[in-house]
Amino acid sequence: MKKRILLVEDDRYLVKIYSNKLMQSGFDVDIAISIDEAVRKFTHKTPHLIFLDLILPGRDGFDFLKDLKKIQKGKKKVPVVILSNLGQDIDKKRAEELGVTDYLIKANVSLHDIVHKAEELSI
Amino acid sequence: MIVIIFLVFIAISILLIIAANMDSNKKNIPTDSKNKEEERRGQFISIISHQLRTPLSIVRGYLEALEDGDMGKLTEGQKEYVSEASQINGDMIELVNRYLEILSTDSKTINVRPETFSISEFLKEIAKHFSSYAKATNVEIELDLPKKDIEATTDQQLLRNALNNIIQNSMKYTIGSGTITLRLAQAEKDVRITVSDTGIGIPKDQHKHVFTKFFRGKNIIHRSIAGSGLGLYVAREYITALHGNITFTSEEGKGTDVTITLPLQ
Repeated sequence: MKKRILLVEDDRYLVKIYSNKLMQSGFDVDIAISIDEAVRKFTHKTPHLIFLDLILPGRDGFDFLKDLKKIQKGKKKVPVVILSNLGQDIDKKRAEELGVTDYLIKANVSLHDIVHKAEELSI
Repeated sequence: MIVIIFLVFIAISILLIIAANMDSNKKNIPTDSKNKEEERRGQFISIISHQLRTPLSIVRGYLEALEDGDMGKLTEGQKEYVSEASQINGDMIELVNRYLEILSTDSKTINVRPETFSISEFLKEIAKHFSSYAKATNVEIELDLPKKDIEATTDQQLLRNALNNIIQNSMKYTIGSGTITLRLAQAEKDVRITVSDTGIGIPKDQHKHVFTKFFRGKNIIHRSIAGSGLGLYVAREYITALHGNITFTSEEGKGTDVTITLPLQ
């Protein structure tokens, strides 16, 4: 069975690049371009892994992490990898406090790094 | 690609000017307002991070997909072009990261990651990197290396960024044609790298301002040569972080020598 990834990203070019690469690497990819859509898709079909951007239109990635905490209360947690171009210590700390598994800075990682991360964490 | 890099460069320049103003505005702020000031600074860095890194991430993604053959097999020539574009984009990402590091390291030092490597080989690589641009602008790049290889332990990327800034300046201000020489020498405990050019030089009365932020020589302002005035300032920041020293000599109309001295260990 293919592993399902929820990609929360609003930039249409990055959506195309990341989703194509992940699909070519054998993953099913669900795309959400806003937090509301991400919550809906997460609730409809639980993914094996989430790649989450932080800056999104309206509510941001940190809001999604708070929502996720409530939704997953008492349940098995789905790993979340931040995939953002924000990279200050304060952003990383905040994400860590909200329970993320890993934090990647888009500009500093290759497509292969992202695929490896997906293979490593989507178990 | 060039357009994106140019736009990113312009954006960095503008944003750094704003950042510098934030710095100067900060001087007379009472202590109880400084937290707010820091918060604003943090928000400002977040905006820059997002807006500058995103287009570079997109270019990186497309180029990697092409390199991987996701859009079909590339010819050798296409591979070479894509690989060179990737290298330039990677350099720009590194540059943006370093600028962000400088902006956010108001009180802490730049993060140094030392490694031991051959400085001679490193300089050959840098000369190669600039060779096609040099050829296009009618400038010769020469290497003057000692017979014996010199190894040093320092942060290769920081040194590369500093040298890139210095050489880019030399290229820009060696107008028409000329020569840029990368010279390497070793003293007892130091290694000395000199970038010499036969360019337009810096007016003597401006020598004391050369390493300050946004400095531009008065002999180039009217020549329509693009520049932020940050290259040498940032180079000095890097070299200082490496516990090194950077000096220069220059004569208007004859050229400029910029020398980096670094401890071997």
